[in-house]
Amino acid sequence: MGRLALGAAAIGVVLLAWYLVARAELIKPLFLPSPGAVWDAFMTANTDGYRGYLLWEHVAISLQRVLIAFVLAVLIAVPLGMLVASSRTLETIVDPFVNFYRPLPPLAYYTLLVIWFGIGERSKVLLLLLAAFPPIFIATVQGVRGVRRERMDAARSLGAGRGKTLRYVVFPSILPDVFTGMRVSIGFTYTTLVAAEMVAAKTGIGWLVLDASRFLQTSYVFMGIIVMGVTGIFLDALVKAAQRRAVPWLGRA
Amino acid sequence: MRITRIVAAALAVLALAVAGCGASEGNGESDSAGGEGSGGKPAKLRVAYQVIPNGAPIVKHEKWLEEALGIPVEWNQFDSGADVNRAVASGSVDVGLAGSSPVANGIASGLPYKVAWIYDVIGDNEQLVVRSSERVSDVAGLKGKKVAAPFGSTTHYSLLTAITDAGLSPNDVELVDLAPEDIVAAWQRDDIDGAYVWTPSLSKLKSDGGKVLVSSAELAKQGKLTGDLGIVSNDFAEKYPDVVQTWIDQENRAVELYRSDPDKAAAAVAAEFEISKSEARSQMKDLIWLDAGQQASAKYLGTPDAPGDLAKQLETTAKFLKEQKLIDRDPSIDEFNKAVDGEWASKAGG
Repeated sequence: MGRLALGAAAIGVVLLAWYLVARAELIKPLFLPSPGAVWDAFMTANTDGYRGYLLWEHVAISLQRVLIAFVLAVLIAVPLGMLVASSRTLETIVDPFVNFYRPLPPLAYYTLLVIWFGIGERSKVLLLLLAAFPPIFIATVQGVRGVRRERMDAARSLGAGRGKTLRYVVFPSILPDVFTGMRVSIGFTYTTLVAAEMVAAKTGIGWLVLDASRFLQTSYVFMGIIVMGVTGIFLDALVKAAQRRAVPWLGRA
Repeated sequence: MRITRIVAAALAVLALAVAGCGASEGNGESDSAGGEGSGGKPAKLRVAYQVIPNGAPIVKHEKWLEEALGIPVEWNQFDSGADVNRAVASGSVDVGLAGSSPVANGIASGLPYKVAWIYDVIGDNEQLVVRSSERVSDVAGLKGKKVAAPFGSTTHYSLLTAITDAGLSPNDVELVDLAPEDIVAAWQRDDIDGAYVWTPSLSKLKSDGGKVLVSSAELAKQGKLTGDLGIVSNDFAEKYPDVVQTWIDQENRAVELYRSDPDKAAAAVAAEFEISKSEARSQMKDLIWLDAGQQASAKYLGTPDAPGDLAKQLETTAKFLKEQKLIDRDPSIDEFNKAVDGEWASKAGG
């Protein structure tokens, strides 16, 4: 029996158990809605929408928030990480700030972002950006540290300048680390999504779960969580696919 | 293949175990008030309260419940009725305070609790204000404006009611879901044009160029009543009816204190919420206070033989929430009559 089949069987068993427990009415639907009710919620959200927006619109706006933040984080963290790794002085200056805010729970400073940047998209994306940044930054710095001295010396002795060494030696060498950082980052950014959609949102899959829970619509809460889970797997697969394209030599060195 | 079977069996057992835990907690039987004490009393009473200047903080501050019951009282502060609903659903509180629209939502969704008390009827402490620079003179003028309210709260319900009464659809107004303190910040940043919110956030908006369009006191007069209700979980009410009676007696005592010695009542509220006495006094005046006798009348809770109008109000609220597609069910009046129980109020203070 293949691994895929085993996984599918495990899911099937859990679904069956869920169905039987709900069917036997051992638990009130308020606590555990039946798979059918969750499916109905899914269909209703797809056709009539939830609070004025269709399900895919909720998912799309959430993905948009996460991906904008993530791409910005990559664009800022990688060059900054390379720069900082190349200078002890810069590192001494930047390190304490990154180390200070990195372990902070995002909700702790979110209220500040809202006061500074308003209740619109800006504060939401910024919160996600702050969540996305550190794993990529740290991975980049460590990657640069790990580049073998001989490689750079070899390139230099062949006449490569600073720019060329960075582009053709350092950058490819750190790619595996950067991608590892990116995978950690996308996961963490995604877990921050619900927090980002807590203030003044009326769309987004995270907000849908919060809002449905507020009105005790448990079937929508279940549906939203399942959709979030599947979307999360998709996001991780996306970064993994990009990694395979960009660093095909990974694990074969 | 054998491994597969073992894994599958283990998963099934796990799923059932998890589901089973949820069930017993859900029924509130697992550790309702930490087991039974002596003489038909629980080991402790778990109360949910919110920062609203009614009788609840007076009872808390004066320690009347602890004295009258002789058992420890656990005071849990919540920020919204939705949170209280979730706490009751999980069996973590025995009695508590929630707004009328979360309660209508809770009853419609089958939450196992009863309404046993009306802490207050909402009056001028919840109002719809709009920035005076917007030159809006009535609710109909809100078309296209950005208006905030904490979704799921009584003001959210009142806002939707006011909007539909003015002949608009909720889609004509850009509604924003914000907590009261965030409403103040958004107002100061010019992010919103208006808000339906309660004190003290409300007074901050009013002193910062806010103009009142409608007040919950006016809506109550038009039959769109909102209030802060005292709820008790069914299990607890069945097991410890005397404890519920004591709780209601003490709440009624707070209303009597407010009427006979408003200064002392305001001092208690001020001490609990760390505000000035005059601030407490003015916030308390905006609420409509009802004693046990008034509550047991046909206009409110009624008596077991003659259910009062509150059940009808809750039914109307649920129907409206259903129309707005905010909840899935709007049960018949019977379910609301069953969930509103004026028996304790009718026996209180007498």
